[in-house]
Amino acid sequence: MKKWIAFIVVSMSMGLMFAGCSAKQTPEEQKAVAEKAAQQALAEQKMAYTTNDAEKSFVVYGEGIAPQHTISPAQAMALAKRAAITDGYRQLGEKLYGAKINATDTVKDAALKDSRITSNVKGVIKDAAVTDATFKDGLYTVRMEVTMSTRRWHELFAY
Amino acid sequence: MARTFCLLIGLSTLLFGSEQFWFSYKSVTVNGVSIAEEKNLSPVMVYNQNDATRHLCTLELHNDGKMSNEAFLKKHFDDLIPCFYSLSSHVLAWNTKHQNSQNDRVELVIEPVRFTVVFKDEFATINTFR
Repeated sequence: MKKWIAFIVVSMSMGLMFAGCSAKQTPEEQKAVAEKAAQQALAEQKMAYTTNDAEKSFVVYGEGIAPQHTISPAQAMALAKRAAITDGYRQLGEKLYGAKINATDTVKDAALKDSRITSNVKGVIKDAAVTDATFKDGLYTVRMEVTMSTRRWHELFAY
Repeated sequence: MARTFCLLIGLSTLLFGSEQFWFSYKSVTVNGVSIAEEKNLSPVMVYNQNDATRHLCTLELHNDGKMSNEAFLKKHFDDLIPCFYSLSSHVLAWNTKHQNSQNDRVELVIEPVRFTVVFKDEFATINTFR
């Protein structure tokens, strides 16, 4: 009786060992495993968004140049500041809404003859704050920030 | 008695009541240089007393009464603009790159908004309607 039990145990362990050695995942199985891992990673990221960060901040640095033909340095600085703020808003628009890109390349006789890239941004920005501003060598730089709750950001902009 | 009370309320509103104005602004920059600005400020034609107001900002501005509030605000328009940036600002941007040349045009529009101004001591308090 004991011999029989020992034989069964040994044969099962041998069988398992060989099965382990010969186990090779098919491409379908590998794909399924990879998809599962990716889904898990995504779920973890989502959890991080929804649980850890209550607020999400977008920071941009807008730059504006002082025009040459002005009646005074003060006017040049004021105009550079306006340009910097406008640039900052544009960058915020790009970050929140994205940019529409159109590109046209013309190839003739296997050589690039013409290349045009157009990017458009359109959006409404609310509650943006200018948090810092510097003016050096004719370049006005503003630091701009928009803060919103992560939940709101997911509702409006995450796609 | 009631009539006197009503007259007092009317008089105090005239003396201390805040005026309402419309504000809108547009700025156009090309390649990082401001090329055009559109500044609009005008008194409202139809008053609305029922809306709740939201405090926008307090500026260090004092109107000594020699100028009307409208003229004073128009004179200090540049000081007013930062108050309104936080409201809905519309951005339209076009960037075109053609071989070695690049043209970048950005338009920033602050849509028309009603606001009130109260001059007290050395400060002007700007409130907007929700």
